Amino acid sequence: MAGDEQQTTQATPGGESLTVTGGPVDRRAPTEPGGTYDGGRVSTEDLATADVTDGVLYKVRDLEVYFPIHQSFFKSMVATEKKYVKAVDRVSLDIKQGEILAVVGESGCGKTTIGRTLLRLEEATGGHILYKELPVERFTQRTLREYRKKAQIIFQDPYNSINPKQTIFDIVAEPLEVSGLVSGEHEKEERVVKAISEAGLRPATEYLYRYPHELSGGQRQRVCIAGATVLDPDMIVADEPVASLDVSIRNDILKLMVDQKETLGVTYLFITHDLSLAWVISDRIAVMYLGRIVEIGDTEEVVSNPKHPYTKALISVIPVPDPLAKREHVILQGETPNPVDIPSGCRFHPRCPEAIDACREIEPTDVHIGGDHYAACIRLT
Amino acid sequence: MIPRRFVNWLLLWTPVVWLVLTLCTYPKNRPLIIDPQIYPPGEAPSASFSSLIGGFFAPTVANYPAWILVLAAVCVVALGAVGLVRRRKAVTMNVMLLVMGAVFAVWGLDAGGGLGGWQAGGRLGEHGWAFQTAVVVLAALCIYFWARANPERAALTTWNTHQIWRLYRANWQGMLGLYIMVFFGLLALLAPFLADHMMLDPNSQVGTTYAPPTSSYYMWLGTDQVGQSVLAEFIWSARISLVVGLLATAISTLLGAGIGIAAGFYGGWQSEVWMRLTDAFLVIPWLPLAMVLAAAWGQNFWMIILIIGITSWPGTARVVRSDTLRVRELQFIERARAIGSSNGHIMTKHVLPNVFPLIFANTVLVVAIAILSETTLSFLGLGDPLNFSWGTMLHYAWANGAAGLPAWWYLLPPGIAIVLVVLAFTFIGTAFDEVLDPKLRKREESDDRAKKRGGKSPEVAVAAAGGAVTAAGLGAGPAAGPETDKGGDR
Amino acid sequence: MDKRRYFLKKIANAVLTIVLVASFNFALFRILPGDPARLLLPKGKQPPEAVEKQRKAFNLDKPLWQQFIYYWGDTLQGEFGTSFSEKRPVSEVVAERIWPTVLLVGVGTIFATLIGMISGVFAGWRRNGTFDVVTTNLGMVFYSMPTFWFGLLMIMLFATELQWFPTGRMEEPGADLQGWDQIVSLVKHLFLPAFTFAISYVGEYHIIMRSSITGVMTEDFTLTARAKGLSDNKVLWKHVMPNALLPTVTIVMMNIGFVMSGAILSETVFNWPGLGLLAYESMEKRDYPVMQAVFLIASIAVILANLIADIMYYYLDPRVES
Repeated sequence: MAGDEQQTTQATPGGESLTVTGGPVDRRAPTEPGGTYDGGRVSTEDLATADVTDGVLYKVRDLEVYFPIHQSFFKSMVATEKKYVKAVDRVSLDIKQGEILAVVGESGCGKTTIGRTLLRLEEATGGHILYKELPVERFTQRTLREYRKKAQIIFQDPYNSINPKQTIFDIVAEPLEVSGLVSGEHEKEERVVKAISEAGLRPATEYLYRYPHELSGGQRQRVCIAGATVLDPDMIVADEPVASLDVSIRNDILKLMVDQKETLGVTYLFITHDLSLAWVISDRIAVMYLGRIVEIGDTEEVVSNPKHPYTKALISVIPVPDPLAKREHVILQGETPNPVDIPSGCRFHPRCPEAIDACREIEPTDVHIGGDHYAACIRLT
Repeated sequence: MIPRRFVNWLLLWTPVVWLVLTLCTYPKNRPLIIDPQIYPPGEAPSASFSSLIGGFFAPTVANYPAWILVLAAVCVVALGAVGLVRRRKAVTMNVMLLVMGAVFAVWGLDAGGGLGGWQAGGRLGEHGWAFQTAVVVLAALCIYFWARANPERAALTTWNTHQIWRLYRANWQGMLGLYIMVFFGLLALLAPFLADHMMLDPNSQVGTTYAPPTSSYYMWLGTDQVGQSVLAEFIWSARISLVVGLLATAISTLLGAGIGIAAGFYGGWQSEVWMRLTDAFLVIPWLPLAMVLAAAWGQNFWMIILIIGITSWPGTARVVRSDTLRVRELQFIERARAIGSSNGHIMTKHVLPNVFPLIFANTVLVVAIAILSETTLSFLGLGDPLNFSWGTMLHYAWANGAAGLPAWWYLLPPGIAIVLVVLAFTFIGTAFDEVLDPKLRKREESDDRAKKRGGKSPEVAVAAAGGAVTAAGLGAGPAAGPETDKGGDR
Repeated sequence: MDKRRYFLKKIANAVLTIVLVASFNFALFRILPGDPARLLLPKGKQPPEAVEKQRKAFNLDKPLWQQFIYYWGDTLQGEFGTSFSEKRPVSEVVAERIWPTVLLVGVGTIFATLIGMISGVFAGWRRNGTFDVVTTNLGMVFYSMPTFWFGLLMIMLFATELQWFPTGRMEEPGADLQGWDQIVSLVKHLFLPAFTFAISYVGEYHIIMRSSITGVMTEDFTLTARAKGLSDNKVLWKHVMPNALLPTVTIVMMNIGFVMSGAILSETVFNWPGLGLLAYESMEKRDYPVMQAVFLIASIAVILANLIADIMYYYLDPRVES
């Protein structure tokens, strides 16, 4: 992947130098979440002066998010090692400014966790997330508050993700109030109206003083989008934003997101389990399997020329509008393994139709296919 | 445009609120009917219309302790100042708030005895009635100017309130409860007109010991063991019973809702600590505890309120906690976190509004329990010896053998009044539970369907609708009964 | 969860709560305003020597943590000091009052449970029928009624007017009855207090049982049973009742712990010489040692009732096991 070969050293604002390589460096033990927090914290000034230099907004390096499994007191006394759900296991990727990067995978593969960790709704147990070259995990509480104006999230279920007791105005205005960005009622109202009409609810004044239950699912999702864009963020994590919507409305919402990417210059991390959706909307696709990225590249490249057997399987089941087209459906055997006991070697081998004996032992590394395209499969070497 | 209905409400409620506040602190001795018998010869005042009107301008009207007024001044000024600084839309309203704060400040100064020798506990002030009127009018103006600046919100509030009222009105038990409440509320408020407070003086006999009722006004309910008018006692008791019930509920709800939300919202050890505390309090039987406290702390009005307040919160805490746990899992809480809201913000802006309907309905039910508790404590002789309440009346009746006579006129009225008031609050609480809780509404619908399956004749179904409503509310969650209100524990 | 662990957990919980409540009891009588040594003496004349003696007797001269240890030692031995109204050890005073209360509460609870649950079942089964409307509204009235007031009405009606039952006490003063006569006299004396006590719970049990039945009746398995063509009786007793009984029994059991409040009121009104009356008398005389003991007993009763409810729940609800 992008950061794999070269080794970069950069000074963090705290003065201490932080080495970021493709290999496992500065791995914090899972037992001490946030282990390197002391020292080298990122202040709000650093965040204010930081800028994107090489077109990459986020650099994720060897990100690990492990969740400890709760065991009974006695068991944990006896057990020699703690067990973890390895939701995200050494993931590295770049998110370029102004792109839509789709993360595709089955449920439970850790794609949502990546998104949440980007916003620090989840704490990473290892690795780094660099936002404009600043390590997110070292943000102070105040920096974090500033940062949250810059990165927003849209949830899957528009019925659950807005407070039923608030009016649309209050919902959209809340980020402004919390961040203290606006100084008066009139400015607030202007920005709310702007965000709502940009989200496609026009005329916005019609919607301001309504309650969520008066709106349809699609309209609600637009309200969520307005609530996310009202602060002019750099980044929006969209966690399956259309999964719970009617198919007929999906298109509109997707179109809105593409439009906003262009007009507002927002970067999207689009999390979905549906490769066909990712194909429609994204600039680049990252395919995840069991906490790992198995293939990443430009959308067209990945879809037309998939290298990893898992990606191939996903693509083979996308419906095509040609009834006569002869295609081979790759049906995967078995269930996704438990992320606590990850298979040895290539974690996909128990279900892989192309697996060879070596897959059991050797953990694959990323193989450069061409351009931005990488895949992690030993059979490609 | 301000909705017409909103303005109408304002025009209706401003005088009503003013009247209620004024009557709460109206001088005690302005009866419409005076029994000259109880006064020494020649000292009986005349009951006249002018003395009644004069009561509204008497210095005893609205004499709150000075510190409360100063506190109110500070709060109101702060509210207005914050509004102005934050550049809220309603500029006039904020100015009005500042004026109101000034009025409160002058009032507090006046009540405390002026600049020289001001006392925090002072409750003098010749012109309390004027200050109070000014404050009520200013408050109404504030609301009006708020509506002027935020017409959409005013419309929304009007519409919401109207919806709730429409639903509530359709619930006949709720309405019945409301009527009963209005009746007893008026009885309590108008007590100074209805019965001469002198009648409660131990020396003012209107008849012989345990005289049965006659047609003479103060004898309508006969006399008690010392020959005092039971009617006068009954009317003045309404005040104490209701006020103690309401104030104790306020304490109980504040404690219960606060602890419940905290226990539900914070996970981990904080929740554990709060819940352990609640559990320990839940198993302590309240009557023995209240008896111990009342015996030790002394028996006065405020102590009784405090005792009932601090013994009745765990039920509320439990219910509120379980609802908070539900709300906490909803995704908008996560969204609020993602935009960087603090815990306090999330609790007040997101958790509280969603838990509020439950708190509100529960509060009304707690009033019923608090009134019963007050009655019980007073019956056991732990009430405020200086004031009559229905429980105190029953205490005297029991202690002086009214049941052995039997002096039914002394036993029945207070008991019936308690049953009616408690029923009324239960009805109102149940009705609100239904109006505010969509889940229960759904359950009623499914009950309707069940009714159709049962194939009852329509008349029976209609006649029974009330009964169904009651129990559905009481059984709101089968476990709610004993847990929320310690049902049998009285 | 296996049986042993479930029970152990519940018992440990109960013990912990008892410890908490007993500690609260310790604290309660020490945070009260005034010198506890004086509080523990009769009002009025309190010679300094007596205060000093009292202080010694209750270890009040020692530091608080030592007092706490002594308190626990005394409490575990059932030692609560001397009642100053009766000049006897509190444990003795309390012991002779327990059985009348158990008799009253037992009979009253059986009455209340039977009447309340049976009427609740029929009301819930024929929801919105005439029977339901009448009993449920009556239940609401009983529920909102002060127990003692109902007791007074009972005295007025059945003791004063009709003279069917005595107005109070457990036996006729002075009469020395034997055998059958004694039992008849006891039953006559018991009837009104037990009835009053029962009435205060009937309404609640009725309402709980009724809503429990209606809840179960809308469940799918009831519909299935009906769809199979079972008779109404079979559906009610075989399918609805076992499921509806569960929450009600638990609640009744937990309520039994709270009987103290009901007992205080009906015993006070009817002069029934039980713990409730003792609580009232000791409160009147400010007899703190007795109050302390009664308070502790009342709290422990609740905790034990909760424990029994939990254990019963285990046997009644197979789902707990998994």
